[in-house]
Amino acid sequence: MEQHQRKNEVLPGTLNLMVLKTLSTLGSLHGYGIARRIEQISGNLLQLNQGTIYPALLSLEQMGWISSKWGVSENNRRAKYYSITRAGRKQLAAEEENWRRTSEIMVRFLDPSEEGA
Amino acid sequence: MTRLRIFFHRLLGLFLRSKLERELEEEIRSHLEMQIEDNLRQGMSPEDARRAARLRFGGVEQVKEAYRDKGRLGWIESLWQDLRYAIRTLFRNPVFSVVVLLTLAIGIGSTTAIFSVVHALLLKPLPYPDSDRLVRLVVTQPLGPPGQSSTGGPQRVPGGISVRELAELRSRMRSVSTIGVYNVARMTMTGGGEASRLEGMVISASIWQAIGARPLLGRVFDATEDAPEADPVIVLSNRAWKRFFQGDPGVIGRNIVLGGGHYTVIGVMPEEFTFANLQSEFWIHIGRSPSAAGAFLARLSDGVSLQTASAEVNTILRELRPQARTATFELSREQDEIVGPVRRPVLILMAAVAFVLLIACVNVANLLLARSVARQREVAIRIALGAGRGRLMQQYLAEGAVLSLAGGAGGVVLAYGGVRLFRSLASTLSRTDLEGRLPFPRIEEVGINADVLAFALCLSIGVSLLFGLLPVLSRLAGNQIQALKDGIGIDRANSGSRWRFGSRSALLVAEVALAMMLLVGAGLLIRSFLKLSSVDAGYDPSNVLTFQLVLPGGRYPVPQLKESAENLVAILEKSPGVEAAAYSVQLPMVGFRERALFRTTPAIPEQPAPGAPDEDLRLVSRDYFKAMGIRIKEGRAFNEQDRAGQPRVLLINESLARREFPGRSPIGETAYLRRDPTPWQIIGVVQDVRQFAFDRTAEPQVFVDFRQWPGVNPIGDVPNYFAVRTKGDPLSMVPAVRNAVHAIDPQVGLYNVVTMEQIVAHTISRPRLYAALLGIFATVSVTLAGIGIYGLTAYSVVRRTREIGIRMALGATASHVRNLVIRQSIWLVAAGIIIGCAGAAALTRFLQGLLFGVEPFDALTLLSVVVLFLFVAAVASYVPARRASRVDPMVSLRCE
Repeated sequence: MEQHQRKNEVLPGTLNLMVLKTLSTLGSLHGYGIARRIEQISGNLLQLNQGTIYPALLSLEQMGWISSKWGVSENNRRAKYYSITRAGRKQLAAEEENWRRTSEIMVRFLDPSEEGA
Repeated sequence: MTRLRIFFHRLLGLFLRSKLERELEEEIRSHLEMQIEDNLRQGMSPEDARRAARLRFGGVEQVKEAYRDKGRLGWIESLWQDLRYAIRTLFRNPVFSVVVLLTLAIGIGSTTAIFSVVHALLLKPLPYPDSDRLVRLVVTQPLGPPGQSSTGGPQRVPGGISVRELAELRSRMRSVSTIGVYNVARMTMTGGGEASRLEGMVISASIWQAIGARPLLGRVFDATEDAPEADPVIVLSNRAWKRFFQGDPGVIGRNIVLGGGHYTVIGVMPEEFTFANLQSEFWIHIGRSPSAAGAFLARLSDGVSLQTASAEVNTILRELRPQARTATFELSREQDEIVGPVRRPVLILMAAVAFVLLIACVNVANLLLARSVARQREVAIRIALGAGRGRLMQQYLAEGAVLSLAGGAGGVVLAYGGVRLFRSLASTLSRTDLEGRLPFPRIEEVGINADVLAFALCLSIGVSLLFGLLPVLSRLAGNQIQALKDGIGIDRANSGSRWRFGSRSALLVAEVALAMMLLVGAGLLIRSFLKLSSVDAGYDPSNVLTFQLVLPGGRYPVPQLKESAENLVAILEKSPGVEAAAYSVQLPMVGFRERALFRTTPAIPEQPAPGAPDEDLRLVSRDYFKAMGIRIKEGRAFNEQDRAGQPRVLLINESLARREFPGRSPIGETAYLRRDPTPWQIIGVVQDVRQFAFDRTAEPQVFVDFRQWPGVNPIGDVPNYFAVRTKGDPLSMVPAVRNAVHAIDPQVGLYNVVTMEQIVAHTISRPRLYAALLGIFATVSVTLAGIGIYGLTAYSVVRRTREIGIRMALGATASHVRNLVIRQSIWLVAAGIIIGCAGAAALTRFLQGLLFGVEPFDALTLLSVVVLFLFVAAVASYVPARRASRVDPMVSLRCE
């Protein structure tokens, strides 16, 4: 219960960025892997309904930033593997830059004495 | 860009819907399984592992819904629904659908077919580069020769120039860049086997430059061909190359004997190339003789207007031809001149077919309205349930689109048939010697091509918009509450005796009016064609076979020519099945004429100016009148005694007799011809013959027996035409005629073997085509109007069933009810007929030039059309009226 209260909601728009970053670091990955990775990186601080990743994956694919292919997982299970496209990398770079600037501004705003995140 | 991509993905998803969902389910399943495995590995019980996995995943159904939302395209998807719904509706009412689709197919199909004609003849440029810069010379004589045209107004004819004038024009004219001259040539090709007759062109070298032609093999003429010492060369058509050289690519440099002269082949043209007519098989140089002449063709210089060029050519030619004081010379676009004679008729046909389309649309609109009234309750419920107007409009548009695109597809199929019909009606003999030449220019280019298909598509889309919006406009204007009430029986509309479907009645009146106008137009053209084809031409074209001969060049000197022609006629006359055989320099309907300069005094006259009244000279053989069925009105025909060396005798026709010997008999009078001082004696008068066309009055004519003619044939190298009157079918005599010819000389060839009836049909093929097409259109539109009247009456009977029941219950008889119903539709039809008559009176004047022997306002035509229409209306409304009179009052009052 206490733990749940400390968890953060996923900010709108950030899930796409997290998916793209994950795929760009780890290469081809299935939906479960992506969800796990996001949870791990966020140090389990993020309240993520794993299922919400699928509509996000579909819209990313529709925008042409990722592509998908059916494959077989490490323990022989059929799964859809997603990988980032060239357009996706471009989009990622732009959004990363954008986020970095936004968070920098937010940090300065909230705590002018401290630097970094 | 991204939005477009998303759109595309979603569009695709529309069709892959079930596949996407199946894939998502599989993904979710494997996701959960992986999570469960991990949970188990962490030591959870299987039960807990499954529960925890589901918890972490969140709601499966929510995910699916969110996923679906991402893959969805609101309006496209509902459109897809609407389309499927519309198609289902069509299958549910097969009779309704077949009638609607057939009507639309007829409307769109006939319009498309006629558009293909308009496209090929009037819209498409000639097949030469920048063909709108090509101009020809047109000469206008203030007064045409009498009898040539019914109006006798100024005559506008294609103008020719001589090689001498060509040189002069070339050095002086600035407004045109290239000038050429060309003329038709008919030459005999010899060398092995039967000689063959070839149609071709003699041209100046500049023609190639003017039309921008590129050969398939070799080269075309260049400036060296204009030099006096140039070798005779020839360019062949693709057809001739394949026929005579079997398409041998090594043909360049080979030799051809044409008209006794030797020509070197220097080029072969591509298959699609034609100049200046379809029949041309070769092109040779016009020669250096200054008097050689032909038609004028030039290319306008850049930036020069037609008026400027016309003014320039008029000034120069008037100076070069002082004797032609009265003539005006102008330049006109080749493109316009080629289709000039058929331009207006084709536009009239297009207008007529637009009427057919309108009638078809009105009919379909009426049917749709009827159905939409029946669907009023459905619509009211949909609106009550919250369907927006846009959503309703979309559904109607979808239905309209399905109907008209399917109708359009059917229409394209019909249009293929229509184009075939048009071509078979329009194409007749492929000859260049007959008056009027080709009845239809560019007919070979008429066909269904990409442009025409695009037109059909646009038409269908336009029609679908119309039908889609029609019910919406009429519905949304109405009161929905009333529609709901209609459904539950509080129906004021049904109980009144007033007919409450004003828009449908108005449409019917419009439809009848349009069909009336078409019917009047068609009636006029058909009457005019019947009059034309029953004209007493002065000769009898039935059972006459005509043909021409090709003689091997150089082997027949003139005296021998006459002799062999006489021999052939003698042999033919003795053949079984032959009543008479003859030859002549021209046949009726052949477009050549020869001046007789007929006079009763020996004084040699000055050569009259072109266009002055003149007599037509006919050199014929002894039995020509018998073979052609021309009656001798007075005196006698030629006989065996009238041969060379005997007293010279001639016959004249009634027109000439009236002109020269008014009120007395010309028999025994003396006459003089041409510049010859020797007198001729008139021995007979023949009936007037419509020599050049059925719709031209006869011209004065002089007939001379060719045996007594001192000179050579003034027109060709042979007595041009042979005519054989047969007892049975003339075409069955062809082998016998061929044998007779080959018995004299196996190297002589026959060509243009046709019956006189075919020639006559050829010359009236244009009016026949117009009458036939307009007749078809009128028949279709009257049928459609009949269906429309039937539909409206039947519908009204259904709507008034209750009222009729009440009337009958109160004592109305069956005939009373019948009359009530019929009277109603007769009133509408009468209104349509009156409007149609007014419209016809206003429009038929456009038919003026196409009519023969009928005035545009023809009471008989008008009256018979009105009677016909009333009859159709009576029949179309009688059937539903009878049904109305059989209504059982009890049943009708209980229904609904």
